[in-house]
Amino acid sequence: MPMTPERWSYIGDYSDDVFGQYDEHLAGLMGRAVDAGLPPIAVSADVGRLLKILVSMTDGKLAIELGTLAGYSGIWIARGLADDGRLITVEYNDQHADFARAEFEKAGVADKVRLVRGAALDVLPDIAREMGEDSVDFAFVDARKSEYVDYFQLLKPLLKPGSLFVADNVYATGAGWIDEGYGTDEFNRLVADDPDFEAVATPMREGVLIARKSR
Amino acid sequence: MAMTPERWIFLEHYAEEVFGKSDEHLAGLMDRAVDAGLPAISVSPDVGRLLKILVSMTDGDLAVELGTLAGYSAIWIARGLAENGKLITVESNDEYADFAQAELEKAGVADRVEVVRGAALDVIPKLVDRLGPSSVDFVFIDAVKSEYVDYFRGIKPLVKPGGLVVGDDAYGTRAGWIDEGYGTDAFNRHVAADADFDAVGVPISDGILLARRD
Repeated sequence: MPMTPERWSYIGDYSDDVFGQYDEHLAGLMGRAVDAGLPPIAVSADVGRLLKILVSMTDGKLAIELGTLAGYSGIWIARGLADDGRLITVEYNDQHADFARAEFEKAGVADKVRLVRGAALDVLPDIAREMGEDSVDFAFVDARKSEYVDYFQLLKPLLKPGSLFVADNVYATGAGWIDEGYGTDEFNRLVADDPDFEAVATPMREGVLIARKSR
Repeated sequence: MAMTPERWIFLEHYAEEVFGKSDEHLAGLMDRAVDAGLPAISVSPDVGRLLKILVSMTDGDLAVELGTLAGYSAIWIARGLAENGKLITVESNDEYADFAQAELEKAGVADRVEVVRGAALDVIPKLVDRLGPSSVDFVFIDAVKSEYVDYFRGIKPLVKPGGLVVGDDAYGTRAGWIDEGYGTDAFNRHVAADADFDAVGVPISDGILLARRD
């Protein structure tokens, strides 16, 4: 029973149809983002819903996102947080950050979301000092693929035991698939071999890695 | 950029190599099962690991599995439970149940796993009476595909707020894919439309449906 290109498209469309339903605000966001000149590379609605489900499985007090883009995934993550939970989302592109800031407000989650401007590797040490060890319930990494290993090493001490670490594009980017040298092979193996984590990746869209810190 | 048959197989092998590591007991289980005449339709090691991760994200006190087969997924689920947690796994085939019981003992989890013999639709009402409402942290459904909607209706009262329901073969079975009429379309739509659950399909192996009760 081969997985053909047509079948893969069918499953993607099916997932949009069955699991991708959401409110009008989120439905219009990516259209507005593209109109504003942002690249159409946000996570899809089903991945957004997965993020929300995963966040809500944690204590949901503090989440960190690397790579805000238009704020789409940030809104899903914010919706999975506890009532008093907060998301810190990091974006180095000022135009993307301005757009996302406005969208967080429209979506009614701005009071839960702190947008930090800067390159992830520059701002993470400051965030680490401010938040301290064992403070983060959920981390979502969707910034520069070549830096995923560094993100993981910087985030690891911040993550609570029982927290989740999730990464997008682990099997592919817009440029190609992991069998062609794209995706995040080195990162995948690093997380999978880390004895403090239990990790698995799913070929959902461009590949989502889910890891739980066990100690 | 297309997903090709070769690429899908590459990804399956990659996932097994990178994320499918397991101890020798689990690694040998399915070979022993096939030697004993059981069908080779257990979940893959990466799905097993995902089940363990998901169970461990719940309170992990009580899990229910419908469809034990050789006990492979049950061992992964049992390993995700809290220290005093328990798994009740339901199997209609006595030969499978005997095999699984022996494997659960060898894996050192028999003290936390109860194998209940019977058809899932017959056993569920008894579990509802015995366990009571909002008692179950995690449900894994991997039995008769045409009965998934009935399983879900039956077990729903048992699922705690914050509890998870996971269905295997959401996008296909060994017989074919969802675009050919296999998998669990009616179940997927039923759970997705249930206002008490947040649900998403995840295309790993034959597809799983992951649903969390709000």
